[in-house]
Amino acid sequence: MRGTDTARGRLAVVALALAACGDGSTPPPSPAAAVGLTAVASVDVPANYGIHDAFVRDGLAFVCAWNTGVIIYDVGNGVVGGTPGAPREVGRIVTDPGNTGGARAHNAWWFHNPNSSQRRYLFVGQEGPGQLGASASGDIHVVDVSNLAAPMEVASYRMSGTSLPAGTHNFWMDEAAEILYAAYYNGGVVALDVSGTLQGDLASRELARIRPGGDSTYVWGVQRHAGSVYATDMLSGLFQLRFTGTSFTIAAAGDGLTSDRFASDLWVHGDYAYTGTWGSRVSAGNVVNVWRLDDNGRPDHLGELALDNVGTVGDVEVSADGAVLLLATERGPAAGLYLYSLADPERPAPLASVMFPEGVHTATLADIGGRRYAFAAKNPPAPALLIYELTR
Amino acid sequence: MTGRPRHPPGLVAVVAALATAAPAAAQRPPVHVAATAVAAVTRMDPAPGGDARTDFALDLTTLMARAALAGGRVTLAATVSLEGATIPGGVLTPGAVGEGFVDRRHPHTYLHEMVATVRQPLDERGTGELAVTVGKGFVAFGSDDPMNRPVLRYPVNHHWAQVLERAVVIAGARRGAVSLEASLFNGDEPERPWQAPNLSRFGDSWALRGTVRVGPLLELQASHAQVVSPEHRGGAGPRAAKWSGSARLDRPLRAGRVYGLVEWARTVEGGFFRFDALLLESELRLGPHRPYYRFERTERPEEERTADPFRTRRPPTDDAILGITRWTVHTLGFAVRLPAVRGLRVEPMVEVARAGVAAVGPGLFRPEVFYGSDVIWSLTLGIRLAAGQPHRMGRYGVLDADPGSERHEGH
Repeated sequence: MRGTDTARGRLAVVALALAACGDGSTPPPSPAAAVGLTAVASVDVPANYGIHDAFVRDGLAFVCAWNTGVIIYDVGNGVVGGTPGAPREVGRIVTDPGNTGGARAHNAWWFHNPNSSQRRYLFVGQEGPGQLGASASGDIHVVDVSNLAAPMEVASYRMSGTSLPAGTHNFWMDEAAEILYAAYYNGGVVALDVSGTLQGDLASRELARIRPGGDSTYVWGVQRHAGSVYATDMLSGLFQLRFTGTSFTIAAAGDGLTSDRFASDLWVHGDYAYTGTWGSRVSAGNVVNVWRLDDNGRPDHLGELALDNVGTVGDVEVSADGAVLLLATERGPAAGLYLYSLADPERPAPLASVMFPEGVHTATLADIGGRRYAFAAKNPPAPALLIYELTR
Repeated sequence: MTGRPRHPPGLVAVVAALATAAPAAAQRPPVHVAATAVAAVTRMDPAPGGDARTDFALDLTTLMARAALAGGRVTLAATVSLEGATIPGGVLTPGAVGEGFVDRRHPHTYLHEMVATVRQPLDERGTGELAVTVGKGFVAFGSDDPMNRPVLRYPVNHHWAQVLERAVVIAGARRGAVSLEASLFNGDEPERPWQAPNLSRFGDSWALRGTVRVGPLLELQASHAQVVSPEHRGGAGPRAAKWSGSARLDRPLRAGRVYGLVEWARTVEGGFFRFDALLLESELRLGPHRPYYRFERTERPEEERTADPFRTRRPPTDDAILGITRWTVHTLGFAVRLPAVRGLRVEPMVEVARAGVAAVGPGLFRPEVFYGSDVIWSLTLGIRLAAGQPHRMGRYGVLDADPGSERHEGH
């Protein structure tokens, strides 16, 4: 056996209260007042490799469990009576079933189309073999989740025309415009038209693509925000892009920060952006870079938030109200889940952390039933979906 | 932590085995027993991180037994490795990769090999035979295990050119000098010394090996294997397609022996990564003297390392690597066998290696940055202790031979 299922996480709540929030006035109501992490559930998933990412919306968690595929849990939606404290499986699907290498389900986005009111499509990213910094593999798979209990793959997209194979990574969607933005590692960023009915090969839906770092392109994440598209390139840093509908242009290029560290995930909220760092370049990936966006959306580097005894900050997310910053970290004795207050968005203040030596690959926030929860992907050897309530 | 003992029991067992193996060996067939150990100091300069490192290791600590029953129609072979106790953190070996270790050769599992073979002659002249082997051990693939060869430090290509420590069934047929073996086994490599093969995965992987013996001196083999998810015990990892070809010369001389091996191996992982290996090695045994040399050029994956620069994450969490490096290694060694004492052979040895490391194509891994140099030197001074007559591991059934009829003295 390769480990135990006992909770090795050490709950290390650093209750700084809301002093960090600043002005001494009555704190806003929950969930913005959350300051701690209280474990409410741990859902084991097959160690096949385990969970890479989860997308939580409307009380449903779409858990990307690598070769096990995508598992859909009711975590408060009510469709099968699940709650955050007692998730219940609704359905599952192994995407790309013909692939002998397996589904390699990595990330997902459940598309709520405001124009048609449809909630039919789940976009699933597949992360195949890759040589970091150079090549990648894996396609975008589109799953019809009209029947959550029996999801069905209906379409896919494979990037072609690259000098070395390219594969997808994280997504962002402009739902009103019905455009999916996908980070594509050495393929850069691609925009796909996902309007109407999706079926078969979506190659003709490609609107544009860009390799923002030129020959030094390896894009981890992408996010649309306030009319711009932001992308983190592991090799070349943070970029502000403009998308015209048929082409991308670079509005602002990443600065030299990445000569020291590889960039990882990003999150942009309001006038600020936060970017993680990965692995080991000259220095370890143990910092979060903090950026302020100027009037044109151009990011200016303000400083960095360092985490001791951590080697990768692989996932970064700001809550919908901008109150907290959630980090998933790996590689190091202090790896785990970290929560920061953004009362001062230029200086995140620690609120709580939960440590797991094996690391937490990704984490995401969701508000369910008036409460805020963090969903975290604990790494093998005993992978699990960990659910924490953000509590006072 | 458990209260599991560390070095002392391994040392005690090795010493006890060496003391008892020699008299037992003197009893002659049908049972051969043997024991080996190498006490060695190795300096690697630079080691991962840029500084030099010097380690002592009690290496290749093995106990072997082989028995022939029923007139030789049934053979049993077993090898116990104590490396899990004597080198739990592996042994400094520039370029070595496998089972979560990098630049340290991993310890083998305690039960390294335990197989039973049944042979059926096809005629009374013995020109042909069939054989079936069952147990835990070597898959009929590739060349001899490095433990059976002259150089102490394992080659970089170990995991490209051998498949071992699996639950395996081998069916073999021989007609004259030509043999064909087919293996079914579990794809998973061990993750730690006390771990058994994942029997739920038995049969997910297979191998074929054809061997031609050209006279008594030269052996040619070609192999192919399909190994499912070797690096992920649960089966989530990519499939490895493997090829191997080799020529092995082993010729007695009036005052010694000359040995040579040329091998090529290729592993393609997930249809995406390709790793090639070329290796040549030779040994001249003249009286008590044993000079040897090995050249290899082997490509290996560079994975993200843990906080320990000699380890990578096991189980892995995805199929990405940081890059591919090519290791060009020259190893020169010399050993002198001292007069045996009550069957215990003592052989002081020195081994020096120069490894040139180069990145193959693009990727994040830059060896000159990681090591601080693209040339790595290593020096090993050691004493090899051996008793009894070891068998040639991984040669079962139609390739088996009475260990007394060949000279392969458990390098």
